[in-house]
Parts: sequence; structure tokens; C-alpha cells
Amino acid sequence: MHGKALVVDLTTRTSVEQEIPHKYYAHYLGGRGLGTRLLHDFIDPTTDPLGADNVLIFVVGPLHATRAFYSSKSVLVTKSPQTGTCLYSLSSGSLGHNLARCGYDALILKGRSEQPSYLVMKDRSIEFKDASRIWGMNTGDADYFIRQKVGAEASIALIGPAGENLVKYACIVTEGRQRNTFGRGGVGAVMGSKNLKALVVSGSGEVHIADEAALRQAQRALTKRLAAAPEWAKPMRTYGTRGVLQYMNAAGILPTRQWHTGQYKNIDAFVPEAILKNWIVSNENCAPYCPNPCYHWCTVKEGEYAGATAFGPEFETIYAFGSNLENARFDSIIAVDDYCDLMGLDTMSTGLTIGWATECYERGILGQGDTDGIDMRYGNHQMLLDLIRRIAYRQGEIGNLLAEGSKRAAAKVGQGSEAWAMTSKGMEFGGYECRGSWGQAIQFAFSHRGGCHHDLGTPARLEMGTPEATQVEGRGTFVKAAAYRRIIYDSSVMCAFPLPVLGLESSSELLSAVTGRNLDIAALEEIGERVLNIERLFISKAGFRREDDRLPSRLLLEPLPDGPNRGKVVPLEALKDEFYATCGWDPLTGIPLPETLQRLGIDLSI
Amino acid sequence: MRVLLAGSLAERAGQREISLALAGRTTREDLLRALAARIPALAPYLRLSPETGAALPLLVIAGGKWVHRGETIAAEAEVEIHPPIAGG
Repeated sequence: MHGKALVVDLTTRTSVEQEIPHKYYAHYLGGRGLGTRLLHDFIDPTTDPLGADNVLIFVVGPLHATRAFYSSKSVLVTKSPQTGTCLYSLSSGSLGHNLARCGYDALILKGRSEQPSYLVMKDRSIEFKDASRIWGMNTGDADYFIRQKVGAEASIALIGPAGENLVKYACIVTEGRQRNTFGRGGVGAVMGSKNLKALVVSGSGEVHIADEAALRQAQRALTKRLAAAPEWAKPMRTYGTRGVLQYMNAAGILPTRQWHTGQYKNIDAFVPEAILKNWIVSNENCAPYCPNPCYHWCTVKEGEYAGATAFGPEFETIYAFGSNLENARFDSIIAVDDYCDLMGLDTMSTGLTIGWATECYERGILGQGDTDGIDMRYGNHQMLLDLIRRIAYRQGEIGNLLAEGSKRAAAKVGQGSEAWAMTSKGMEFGGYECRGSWGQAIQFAFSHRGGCHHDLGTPARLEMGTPEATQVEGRGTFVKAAAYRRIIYDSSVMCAFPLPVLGLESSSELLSAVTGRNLDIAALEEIGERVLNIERLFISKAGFRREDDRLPSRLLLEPLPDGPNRGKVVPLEALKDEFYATCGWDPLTGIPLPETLQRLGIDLSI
Repeated sequence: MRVLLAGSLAERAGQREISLALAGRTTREDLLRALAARIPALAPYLRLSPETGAALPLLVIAGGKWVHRGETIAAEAEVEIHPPIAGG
């Protein structure tokens, strides 16, 4: 890596190079870890996420621009307007590679542009452009507009109307027509608050690779591991993430009807073979250097959604707009997926926020007077596109209410509706029912991003079907180990999908070859623990305490009614004690203990 | 015992449904061993995962309930076996 960041002040339209301390790389690697460490340096954790003082840190990982397999992710770190926590967000694509080729390890955007603008970064040069003509455009049109003015190799990251209107779960869209996203936590609203429509990055330089021969050897070893696991690789290529829907339903962990149950009666609509036959047109890699492309183009050929085409939908979108809303119309989910991307909305939060309102409507808490006349019933796929538009533009009472996300909307509406606002810290959950998967319950309650399903390693995938899944003792150690692995992938910038096949062995080999350091698995696990703790330290300084590691009462008080996990609820307080003790955090507050920070070499002054 | 295979398990086995003549109080391990012996293509599912160091967590459900390690299955039960959950 290059050892320096470019800091751009959008208020003054100036930029300055800044050195990154050498020890940051040894301690935090890159990507998620390095970005979170830099976030500590650049903002006060109590900063208003939508104020000029917040920063957007696009950060590089050690594998960017090395052509390492699975170096597929770009990383963005900021403070989330949805949760008030530190937030890292990932998008597939080439932005990180381009940034690394510009000669920087991080691009840090601070301040606020007076007028709508977009930023063009070409190697070491920065140019501020007027965005008044594209402000208000959807992401597809704006991308097309900008693409006419920049080279085909440039990466464009941009916001849609949702980001401009500061929707709390607006995303940033990348990669042109694929419309990959920095999806979660409201990063698009942070960009919108800075009056920044788009960022364009193209780099032509190279990065230093310490040992080219060792990198080639690591690539060969990775390929062999992949070839030895056809039971994983082939279904991913054929069906993508949709391949798991029926298994998750059988296991009773496919959230359905706003998490009332874990089994969807119309699962036949989402059987992978049916999706492949009826909707999938082709598969394609979502980023360079992927040896096992698992994303797919889906198209609707006839009916009321004819012509809709999406690079997806992935599992989480199908859960959010399918089983969770009891909507079996896959064609509507294809249309919704692409429309959310055009508007610049996170599909998971959008689907679950609509789910919260749907339950309010079904219970009579919201009426048609509150929903601007929309009949918000489960299974009503025809309401979705209209609601998405209203949310993105904050149109009408319902659009403005739902643009705040389900936690804030529930706080406003009250009447017990907090029970089915399926969030932690304000971020809506990914699609893993956790009443029979207590490692996953820890994931949701303790994630420093909020109700994220994967930043601690998606424990449900590993524990489901085992007796330990519903035992408190040992869950802390189990989740902590999964979290370290995930953190290393996010900090290396590797796609985490092949993690079950590659483990940390491939990461260790690739990272050691590229950096020239001996990054064995023990060293990587220590980095993982350090990153987990600086994330925890950030949210502690922002004011989060034990009582904020919470789950909605539906998961604590309402036993799961069906499936192999029926009768189960989450014993959250016991899991808190277990996880805090495992991590070396104060059992009363959840703040990392001084001895934990000292052991990890974390500077107590940060 | 009627065994229903899902997803890539069925694909590897070349069939979705298998009947196994197993005695009463068959354990999960007995069942998987019998399956691997009957259909060698399924044997990779019994090896160790590089990530967890444990056998891949196949989802085994009989009569709507989990069948965990060491637990037994009635000889007349209908058993669903799903591959591990990955991706997402």
C-alpha cells in the first residue's frame, strides 16, 4: 500500500495529501479495519452524521490492484445517520482498484459543497464539477450523463433521489448498469448531506507486490481449494445466493410476515430451479478477479412487470420483499430490486420498513388516511413501486414517515409498534430468523453497524442444525471467532462468499505475499480482535451502552410458531453476559475494558 | 427410512429420494454413513470444513424436528437433508 491518504474538503474545494502512520497497516490491515481507525482520527464519535463534520472514507485494502482472486470489494467508512454508529459499507466492483491505482490508500471527503457537485479524481488530480444538471436524476440517468464525460475505465459511485432527500437508508450505487451498492446504513444520505452527487475515480498506476512468486502460488492454492468444493462452487454459479432459500425455509429461519414465522408457505415460488428456469438470463461476475461468478441478470418477459431487468435480486432482497411481505411474485421483486437501485435505496431496509407499516395497517394502527390511500396488506405486490417512489422523494405523509426507517417511524406512531420494527440500533435485519440461532441473535444485537446480518460472520450459516445453536455457553467464543474471519475478509477487501471454502488459509497466503509480512492465521485473528474493539470503542464514545445492544420484543417474547426451532425465543441478557465476558468488555456497560485495549495495543487516547 | 435430498445433494446423488433399510434408533451419524456408502458422491459432505474444523453442518430434519449429532431417528421416519447454508 502507499502510506498516504488524500483528504478533500468539499467546503473549501481544496485537497491535501496526508501520511497514514505505518503502524496502522500492521494493526488494522486495510479496508474495514484501516477505515475505522481513520474514522477515529477524523471525527468525534458524537458528530452529527448528516453534518459537515462527518466524513466519507473510501479506503483501499492490501489486495486491491494486485489481481488477487476475490479482491472484489470496495470499502466505505463513515458514521451512520441510520444508527449513529460507525459504519463500514461494501460494494462489489472496481472502485477500490481504481483508488489504489491513483496512489492513495484512502480518499477522505469532509465538509459540505455549497452547490450540488460531483468529484472527478484521475490519478493524483481532483476536479470539482457542477452537478446542478444531474441533481434529481435517478442513478441510471446520472451514471449515463457522467459516463459520457469520463473514460470507460473510470469507476462512478453516485446517489439517487433518496440520498439527495436524506432518506436514512439511502445507498450509493456503483458499476453502471449492474448497479452494485454500498447498501447499508444510509451512506447515500451522508453523501447527499454533502451536496455530492457522484464520485468518479480512475487510476493508472500500480501497487507494490512484495513477492510475486508467492502471490502466484497463493492464487494456485486458492484455485485448488475452490476446485475441491464443487458442492459449494457450482450451485453458487448456477443459482447464486437464491440457492439457499428453500434450505432456510426448511430450517425455519426464512423470516416471513415481518418475522412472525420462519417458514413461508409459498416457498415453491422461490425454489432455485424455478427461478433459474423462469427468470435468470445469464450469470456474470460483480467485480474483477472473481473465479466463480455468482451474480445473475434476471428479466421479466411478460405480464405487468414485463421489461424489468435487474442484476439480482439476491437472497436478502427476495426475503425483504418476498417472504417478509408474503409476496410470492418474483417478477415484482425483480422490478423492485432495480427500482430501489435507481432511487438509491437499500433494499433490505426498504422492504422491512414497508413490512413494519404493513403490520401497522393490518392491525388498524395505520389507516388509508395515513398511507395516502395505499392498501398496505401482506401480499399486495402492487403497492411496492409506488411506496418506493414516495420514500425516495419523501412524498406525502407515508413517504416521509417511512423515509426515516422503521425504528424512528415506530417511535413516532407508537401503540406498541416498536415490537415489530425489526431493527437493532435502527438498522433493519438481514434475513436470518434468530430465535433458534442464538449466535445469529448475538450478530444482530451486537453488530456495530446495527441489525447487520454478516459483519460478525453470519453465525446462522455455521450453527444452524446443531444443538449448540440454542446454548448460551460457548456462543460468545463461537461468534467471536466467526467475527475475526469476517473482519479479515472485509479488511483485505475479499468477497466473503467463499469464506466457508477458503477459510483464513487463502487470506493468509495472499496477504503475506502482497505485504511481505508474515500474516499467519494467529496474526490475522489478532487483527480481527483489534478491529472489533476499535469499532466497539467508537460506539461506546458515541454513547452506546449495554442497554443499546437490544432486539425487538418480538424475538424475546413471542415463541417461534413453526419449523424445527418452534417454541424458541432469544435469551438476550444471558447472551450479553456471555459475549461481553468473551470479548473482555465491561459487563455493566459493554465498553471495552482498559486491559483488553492495552493487550491489543490500542491507544487509549483514541 | 425415506430420505429426501435437497439442492446440490440431490444433484450429486442424481436422485431426490432414497429409501434406506435402517434399524430403529438409527443415529444421525449412522444415517449419513449409510448414505455415503450407498452414494459415494455424497461422501465429501462428511469431510471437515476448513473454516470450522467440524463436519459440514448438513441440515437434518425428521418429523419437523432437528436431528442433531448423536440423536436417533425412527426407522419409519421421513428425513429431509439439506446442504449447509452459504452465501447471502
